[in-house]
Amino acid sequence: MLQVRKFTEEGNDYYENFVNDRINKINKIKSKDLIENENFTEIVTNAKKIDINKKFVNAFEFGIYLKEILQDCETSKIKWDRGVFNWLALAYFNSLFPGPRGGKKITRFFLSDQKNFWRKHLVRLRWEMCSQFGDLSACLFSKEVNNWSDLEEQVTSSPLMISSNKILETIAKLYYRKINQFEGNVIFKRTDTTAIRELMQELYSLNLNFDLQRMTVSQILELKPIKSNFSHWLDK
Amino acid sequence: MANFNYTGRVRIIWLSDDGDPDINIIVSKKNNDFVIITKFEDLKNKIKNNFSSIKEDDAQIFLEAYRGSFRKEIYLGNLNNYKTDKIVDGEVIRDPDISRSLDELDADDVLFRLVITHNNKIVASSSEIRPKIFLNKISIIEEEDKSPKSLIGVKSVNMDELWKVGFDFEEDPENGIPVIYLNKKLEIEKDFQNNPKFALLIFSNALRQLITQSLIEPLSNKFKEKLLDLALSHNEIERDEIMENINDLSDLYENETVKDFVNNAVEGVLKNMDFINKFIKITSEMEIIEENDATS
Repeated sequence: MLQVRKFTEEGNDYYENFVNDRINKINKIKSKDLIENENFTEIVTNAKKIDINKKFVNAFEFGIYLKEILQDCETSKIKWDRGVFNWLALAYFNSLFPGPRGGKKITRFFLSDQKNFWRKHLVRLRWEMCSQFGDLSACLFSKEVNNWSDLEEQVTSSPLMISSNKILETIAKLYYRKINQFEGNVIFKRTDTTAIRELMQELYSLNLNFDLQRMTVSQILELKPIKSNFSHWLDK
Repeated sequence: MANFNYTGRVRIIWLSDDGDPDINIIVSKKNNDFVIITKFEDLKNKIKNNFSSIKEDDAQIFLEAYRGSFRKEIYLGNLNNYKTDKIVDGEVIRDPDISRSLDELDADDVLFRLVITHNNKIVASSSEIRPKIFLNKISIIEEEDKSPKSLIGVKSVNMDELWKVGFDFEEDPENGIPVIYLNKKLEIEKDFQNNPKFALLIFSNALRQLITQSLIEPLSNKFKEKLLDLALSHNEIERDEIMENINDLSDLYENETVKDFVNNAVEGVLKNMDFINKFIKITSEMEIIEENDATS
């Protein structure tokens, strides 16, 4: 078990070089040279210890694990501390890199100082969504830890969807079938004409005139465009 | 992307050219909370124009504060019995029933949306509100006084200079907003917000430069117009007369009439804002806080 650490600003720079090296298939900087290096990292007080060899069945289990190890830290202090999330990305780098189809976009592994990129980071995103929504976020993260799913992309790119448990619950009810604590199936395919992209567009339009944030999930599902075009998913 | 509004939903204006929006939200970094000044009576009239059968008691008002997945919903009552802060004699009177802590949301990047609903339908809503951010109460009063400071934005950017000014043109030179740009890497914005002496130093010089730039093309920019009006209000000279004195760019810095015009404007604005006295007051408050911190 390893004490959670965070990169200093200099450490973040070194870690960025480490990620770039991996993307370019260079192994100049070694992970072990960075992970407990006292010149580049410092201990995160109140964080629980982590098992860096742990394997996760999917991104949801990973997110819940991150939530638990950081739950005693003050959220407002760690939320924008990119050193914490970059260090955790390094700790689980072998599970996160590369993507299942060889994806090597640096924003998935390295959190820059631009706040907007948090949604693209495989550690920071899962931690925030699982911390905020707990079990409800299972529908977003049913794929492998290194897989950036379509649901993840669609939902997290929208301020409306990302901050609403009612919307998330609606999505889960339509498209997600739970198997056990961590696992479940997303039942739509990208090519379906009433998949998540179409639902998002509909919800966006409805959000202008209906108070989706305070309506119940049943009320949302009863809205005419949702009922006519999407309710068939409820029976699957 | 623009949306057509076929439903009569009232748009709640938070940014307006005439400085008279329906809603004003000011966030205090120091307290991690906010003040909301809303013209609910005006909004009520607009809503009743569009929805004549609406029951005021059933029209619920919600303020949503959010960023990322973090979200807080603040209930502001209904159209018959609403909650808002007020400005009375330059003082902010806070409604004690408003839950105003931002909790886990950060004061410096929180967004707001005001929504008025009736039987699950939205009868009025704002777009995404970017609040004004200030350090303390005194600054809030300055803002609500519609002081000239609100004409000028502050933006942190990557650059080599410590600070500079400009009109944030983007794609539309007619609408470029006067902005004080601060060096992002050196985190000058923090000093600007936390150190009144530093803020005064930059603000007074920035104001001088912006007024000077308002005397040159493109003069069609409406914010230049506003800055020029402000400068004229502290001078006895007419607009045409000052323009006649500018035949060359060097006149901006060498022509005595122009120099006096700019000096009077800067002095007048700072005097009106009572900047020096407020600076002394803020500084003494800061010293007290520091002493208390040191002894606690």
